[in-house]
Amino acid sequence: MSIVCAALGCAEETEPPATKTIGDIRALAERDDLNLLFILVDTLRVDRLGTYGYDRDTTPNIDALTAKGIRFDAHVSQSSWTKCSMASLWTGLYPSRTGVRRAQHALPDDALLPAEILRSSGFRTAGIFRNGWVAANFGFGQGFEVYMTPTPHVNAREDVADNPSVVAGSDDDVFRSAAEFLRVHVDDRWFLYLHLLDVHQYASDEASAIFGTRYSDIYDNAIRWTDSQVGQLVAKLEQLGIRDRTLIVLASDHGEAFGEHGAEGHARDVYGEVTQTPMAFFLPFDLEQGIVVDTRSENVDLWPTLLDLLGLPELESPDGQSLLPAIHAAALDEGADRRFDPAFAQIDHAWGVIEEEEHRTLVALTEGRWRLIYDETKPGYLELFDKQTDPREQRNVAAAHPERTADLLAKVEAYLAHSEAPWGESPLIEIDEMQLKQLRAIGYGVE
Amino acid sequence: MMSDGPSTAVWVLRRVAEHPEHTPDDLLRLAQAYGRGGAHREGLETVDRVLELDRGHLGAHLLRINLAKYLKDWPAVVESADHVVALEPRRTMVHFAKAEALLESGLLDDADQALREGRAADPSRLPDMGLETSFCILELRVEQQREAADAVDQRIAGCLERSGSALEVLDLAVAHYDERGDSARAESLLSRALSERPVRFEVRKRLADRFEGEGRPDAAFDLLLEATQLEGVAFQAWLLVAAFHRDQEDYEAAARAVENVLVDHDVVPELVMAEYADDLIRAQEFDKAEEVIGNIDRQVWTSLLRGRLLLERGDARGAMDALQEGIRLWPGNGTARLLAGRAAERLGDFNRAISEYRDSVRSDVESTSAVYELAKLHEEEGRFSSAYFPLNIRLQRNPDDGQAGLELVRITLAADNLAAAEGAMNLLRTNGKEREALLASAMIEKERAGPGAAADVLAVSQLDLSEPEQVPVLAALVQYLIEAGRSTDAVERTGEVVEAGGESAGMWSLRGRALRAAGKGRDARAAYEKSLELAPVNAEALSGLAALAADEGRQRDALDLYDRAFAADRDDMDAAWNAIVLAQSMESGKPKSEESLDARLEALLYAHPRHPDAANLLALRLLEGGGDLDRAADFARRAIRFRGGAGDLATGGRVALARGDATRAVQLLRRSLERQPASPSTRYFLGKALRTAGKPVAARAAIKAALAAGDFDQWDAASEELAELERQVADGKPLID
Repeated sequence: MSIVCAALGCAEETEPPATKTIGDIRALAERDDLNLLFILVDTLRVDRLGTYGYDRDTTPNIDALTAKGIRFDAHVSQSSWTKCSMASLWTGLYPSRTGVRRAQHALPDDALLPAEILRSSGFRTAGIFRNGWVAANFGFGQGFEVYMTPTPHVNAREDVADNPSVVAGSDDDVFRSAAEFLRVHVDDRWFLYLHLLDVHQYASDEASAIFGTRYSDIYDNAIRWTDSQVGQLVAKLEQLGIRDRTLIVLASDHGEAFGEHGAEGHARDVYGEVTQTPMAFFLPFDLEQGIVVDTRSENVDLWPTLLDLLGLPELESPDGQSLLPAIHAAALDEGADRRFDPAFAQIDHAWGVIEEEEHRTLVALTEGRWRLIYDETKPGYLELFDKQTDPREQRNVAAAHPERTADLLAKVEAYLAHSEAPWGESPLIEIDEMQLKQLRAIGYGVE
Repeated sequence: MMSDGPSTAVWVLRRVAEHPEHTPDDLLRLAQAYGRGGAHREGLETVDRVLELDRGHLGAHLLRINLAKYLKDWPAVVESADHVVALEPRRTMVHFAKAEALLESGLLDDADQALREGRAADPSRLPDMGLETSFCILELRVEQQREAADAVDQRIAGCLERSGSALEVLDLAVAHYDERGDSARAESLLSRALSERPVRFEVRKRLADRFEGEGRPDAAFDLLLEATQLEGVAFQAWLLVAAFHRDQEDYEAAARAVENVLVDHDVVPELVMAEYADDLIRAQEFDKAEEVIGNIDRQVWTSLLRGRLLLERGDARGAMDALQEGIRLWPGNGTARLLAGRAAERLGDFNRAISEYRDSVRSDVESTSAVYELAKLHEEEGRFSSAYFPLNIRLQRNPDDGQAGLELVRITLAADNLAAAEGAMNLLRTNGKEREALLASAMIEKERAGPGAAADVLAVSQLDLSEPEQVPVLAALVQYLIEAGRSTDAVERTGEVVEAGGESAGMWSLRGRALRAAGKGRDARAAYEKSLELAPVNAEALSGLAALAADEGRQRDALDLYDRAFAADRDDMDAAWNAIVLAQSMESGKPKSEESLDARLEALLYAHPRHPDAANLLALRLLEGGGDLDRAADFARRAIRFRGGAGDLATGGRVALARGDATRAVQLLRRSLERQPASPSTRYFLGKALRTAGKPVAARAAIKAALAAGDFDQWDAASEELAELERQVADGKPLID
């Protein structure tokens, strides 16, 4: 039976469907046994996943899951720097409103975070993370009963144990701890957040190191390694008999640059390679045919969508919105619901300079086929890209489209002016030497 | 379960703690697991639950002190410390933790009191526990926060007396006196500590580094060498000496230093052997290096060392394979990636080289030479904005890199971006790189007003050009003066420098250059010979003597001297190219010794794979000599990519034609003619390519035009080609494109 028929109620078959349909997605909100597993793969750019068309076999497990789940094809993150991006992801607010744009910024206790909603709704909540930018002292632990970094077990690759560029531990530690969490909480209703770092660290095991030795290759190796771990975790859910009551969400905080616009790495600018990220939902059942949502979506939409999907209370006045209508439209093959309102990504050039007070803001606005890059440090200079003809953002066409550019610039200015968070000022946190060391160890230049 | 670590154990421990009959110890175990897993907040909350059940639980208070310390919850630290010392007053560490918390809270008198109580708690254990140093440091911090300079001095004196053997205390004292500008006292502390225990290498190294930092490398070296005579510590001492030589880039001396270790020790750590092998390769002692590498087990090291060795030996393919294996095991090794980039260049794969250089910059932006290699490669491609990028990144991360700043000025000038050049020059000045800023200023002035003005900028500088470190400034001055036709001034300035005591080989070579430019060959020779006396392996002097020999018509001598110059410094591509030009002229009219000339070209292109003259010439020779056309195409491509002149394009077109690719041949030959329309030879080859491409009408027109332009090497062949076309028409076969 096709998804379209299921949604329109035209099913006539006598045999029960082997797979579920759009109606079952709607029914998820009624279930009181549903767990939520949120896998955040740090530094995962969208075009390196097989399911998004990459020609290397980096993600066989994720591809298989996505084939029977929901994939968001035009997704953007709100920053190219983890902390700024994650503050937006968790709150549903754009960076201009979260107040978390610098190394010492934090989410205040007054902020309402999804884990708090889930915990008060009866979920056991736990977060396991390896990136210091989402540590509890930045406000990200709110609502989690346990929010911790896993104890480093062994390096994923023993043969690089002496390699000074490899930080202690690997995502293997996250998955070990997660597996034990699942075993202990098999009969509970839970929300588990896993923030993975091996892609960020370009770490893989021997079996996954198959694509070569350039950084770009090693990055792919790390994605394959992470994919294998995701596959094992899903197998663990199946082994415990709880896969059919677990909704799995995969997303990323930002991408990674390989010189497309000169820079390598991330947290420097907001071009597509560092802000276009994947998002996928793996439902507690297989869809007959995976849903591909090609209308634009953002990380700020993630939690509004999930809370809507689970029938839980909303976040406080988020900028993001539930994508359920878009999912339904995509399932029904309706293009009418496509959104053309702008999406924003932002970074402060000076995010890592603790002493500096001046902001140096960089904003990317995506609207329809256009993408405008505004850099506060370059007065009068704007970049406009036509994503339809120039998906890699290589040709600045601002001069050829002055009216479009002016219109988008006005929207950026309005965006920056709209900077009030629901909870007022964000607190400033003192980052101690140990935390600075940990952050520097994973490659961040905090001064 | 516990073997998987506390972050795994925490889930089941939580379950136990949730059981209605849980005990305080169940909670304590959970709190410990939280703490070990970095969940300090959860740990503190859990330990507070223990204390709700058992207010006096000693273990809970001890854990609370640690967890609260992580969370900077200083009142909690003090509170639990008070509980513990009330029960067990002899716990010195707890007094210490309390003092630290009070200090962090700004309660200096209370902190001082806690420290005194800590010292009194169990004085007999203090030295054993190694706490003396920690107490000293904390006491010192208290006085520093009080801003009581005299009290700090007294504390330091006391600390040095009680635990002066502790390196932390010594460092603290040295830093204190340095900060107060009393570096003599700081140095005397180190000297005294060393004289008390001469075998303390950390102290010796600190003192040697200090001497080096003060511009006294000889004193530093003597200090290190002295340690090699100390009984029982020769091993470490020789390694320090080797490290010193490496810092000076004297790898032969470094290898000899390591060999002193090997004489007396059968078992030497592999890392030492790996460094030794690296020294041997850099000292060109390849056979010995290979033997050493063969005895190293660790694969990552053998792969990387073998890669460097093969690259030096001329086996770029083997080097690349070995380096790739090493990089696979050690992806963040910037040097390995730099070498892989060089290997890729030698294989003619410049895109791969760019990728490897970029990855090297990414791995080690602060020190890799890939920054310069990448910038130069892009510059030679004419991609200036790509060339700026690595230099900019380097300067962002390492503003003290004067070389990067200077390169940036040079490249921005080459790109006609005067404003950017001035910006880079100002950056050099801001960062205190006076010499580089001066050189940059002269470069900019040359662009604005010519070499004479540039020379004037340097001439009025306050720098003492007789100092060896000022040779680059003197070199620039001499060059600008010669370019401005003021060779006599150059002779005068270099004369002043050597009279003022400038005794470096570089200065004498520059004097030789000035004298030669001024037409004083005999004096120039004497200057070069003096330079060689001071430094026998000296490419500049050898090249200078070669040029003088060539001036005098002694071609054989000149060739020999150029060869020696290139052997002395593989970076001296001018020496190699001059030798090639000379060898070519010596060949003319005589039976060709092509092997020799081709070998020279191959050697130059191995050392400098982007040399467009050499690449173009070798491509032509392979083409005309019936050589390997694939290789000819490779070299022709290089010449086009890194220069792209009319001659390079013409060679590329001819090679393409010979390889049967008429379309590409036509394309390249047309581009060549756009740059040099008056080349009948190129026009003839275009005609030939057009004919092969099935365009006989255009071919006939091109060949006719070539023949009409006058005599050229292929005139007879062109006539014959045209005749053939005309015959075809005469035979009633019309030409149709």
